[in-house]
Amino acid sequence: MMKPGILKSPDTSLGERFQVLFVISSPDIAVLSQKYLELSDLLSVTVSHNGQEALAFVQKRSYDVILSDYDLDDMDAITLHINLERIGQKKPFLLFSIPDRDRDILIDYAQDPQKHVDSEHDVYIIFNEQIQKIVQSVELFRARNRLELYARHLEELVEERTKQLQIAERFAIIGELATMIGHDMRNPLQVITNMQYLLEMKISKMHPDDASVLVKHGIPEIFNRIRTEVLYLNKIVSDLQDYARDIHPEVSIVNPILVMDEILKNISIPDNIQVIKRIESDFLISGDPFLLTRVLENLINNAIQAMEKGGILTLKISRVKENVCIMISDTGVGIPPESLSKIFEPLYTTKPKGTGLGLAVTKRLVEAHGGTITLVNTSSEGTTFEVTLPAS
Amino acid sequence: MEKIMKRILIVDDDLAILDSTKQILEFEGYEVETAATAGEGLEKIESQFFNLALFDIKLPDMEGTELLERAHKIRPDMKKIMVTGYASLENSVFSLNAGADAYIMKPVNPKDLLQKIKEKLDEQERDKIIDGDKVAEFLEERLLSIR
Repeated sequence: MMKPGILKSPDTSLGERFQVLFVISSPDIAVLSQKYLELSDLLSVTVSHNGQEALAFVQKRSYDVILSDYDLDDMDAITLHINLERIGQKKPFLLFSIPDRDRDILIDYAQDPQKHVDSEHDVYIIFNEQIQKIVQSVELFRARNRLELYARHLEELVEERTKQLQIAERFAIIGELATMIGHDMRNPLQVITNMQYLLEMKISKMHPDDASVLVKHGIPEIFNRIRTEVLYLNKIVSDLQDYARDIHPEVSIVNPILVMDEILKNISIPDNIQVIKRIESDFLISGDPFLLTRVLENLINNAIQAMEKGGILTLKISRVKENVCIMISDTGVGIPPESLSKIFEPLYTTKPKGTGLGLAVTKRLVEAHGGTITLVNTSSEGTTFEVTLPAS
Repeated sequence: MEKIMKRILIVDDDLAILDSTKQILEFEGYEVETAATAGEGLEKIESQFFNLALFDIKLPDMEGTELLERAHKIRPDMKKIMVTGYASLENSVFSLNAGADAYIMKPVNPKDLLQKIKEKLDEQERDKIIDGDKVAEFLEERLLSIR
């Protein structure tokens, strides 16, 4: 008859032995068990002789499983289990439950192996069963933990997606609102613009005596103010509509230098701001000239607004591999650190008269061209933005 | 001899826009008719002469582009300017292909509008002279061939 052995780990190179805390008050069984359980290469066994000791052990180091005999010197296994849970031990807890017949075999064999050499076979069987039970319980416990982790991860994912959806929904509402506002406000604004123009024409064609009466009362000045504010309202509506609409660039070949020159011609640059152009050479971009004008216009306007007390506006165009890189730098007040993460978010603004859509729109427009926009640096010395667009 | 006033038709469903644009154009010395729907506009185009028409791209009874196409069939020589919003840029390109002579973006700067109108009317004037020359040339040739 073949002598049975102890189960061995199928892959000892794995190297991990499950840490078992074996709580048992019978010293004979304890020594025997430790020896036979460890023969498997799967387990590493620490023996504790009573419940109190076991409770102290688990606080010192962690075990993968606790195997406990039912009757201990100071308590029973149930009390031990309750106490373990009370101190936050959640590891698998197994009962060393063997029939009395087997227990007798173990005690006899432990006391005199030579005399009970016939029982060796049974001893192997008893411990193999225990080893299997222990390994299974640890693996089950670990699998359950992993599942819990997955579940928690899934929950987090759902939560995150929900948040993203809520944001998307909010922007969709802004989009709808913008379209509505754009539609409803455009026409009245157009009428006001028309009337303002008529007013100017009529004043300019008036008899000088009549006109001077108006000037005396400061009337043209008041109308001028109205015109400025209407222009501003128009810009808000444009920004909102820009943000809301789908962008389909009508791509042609654009010379960014010409676009820049056109913008600089059209916007009024305060006398205390010096413009420096550092253009390495003529580079062409494939893009929508109208949309790219808006991009650069927005960035240049921002730069100028950051330099209320004057400064230097630097515009740099260079070629970096497949891209044309446009840098817009100012020597203005800089962006406060707490705003940095939000500057490209819609509706975020630090300007008293900003819609908070400028940079958000700019980013959308650049990205619609397959380009990128980055804040290169900002400090109290100034700010630099970089726009990269595919070269033609 | 007093200069003949150029006639302009404005089609827009917003009455305040119609009225204020009319006032601007009249102040500039044009004779102006208005229509609040594409249908009304087409009626006027069929029954009266206009040098130029302004069409809003969005009208209650018909797309502005369709009005454009129909108007172009009736009066190919009438200059046609589409007034379009941002969102309708694609339509504007279509408009140019469908016979529009120009488009102007909202919000319309009255100065730009007047400039564009003048530009198109001048163009029309030149075309007319060229056409006149051609007719004269044609008649002359026919006359010669008869002899």
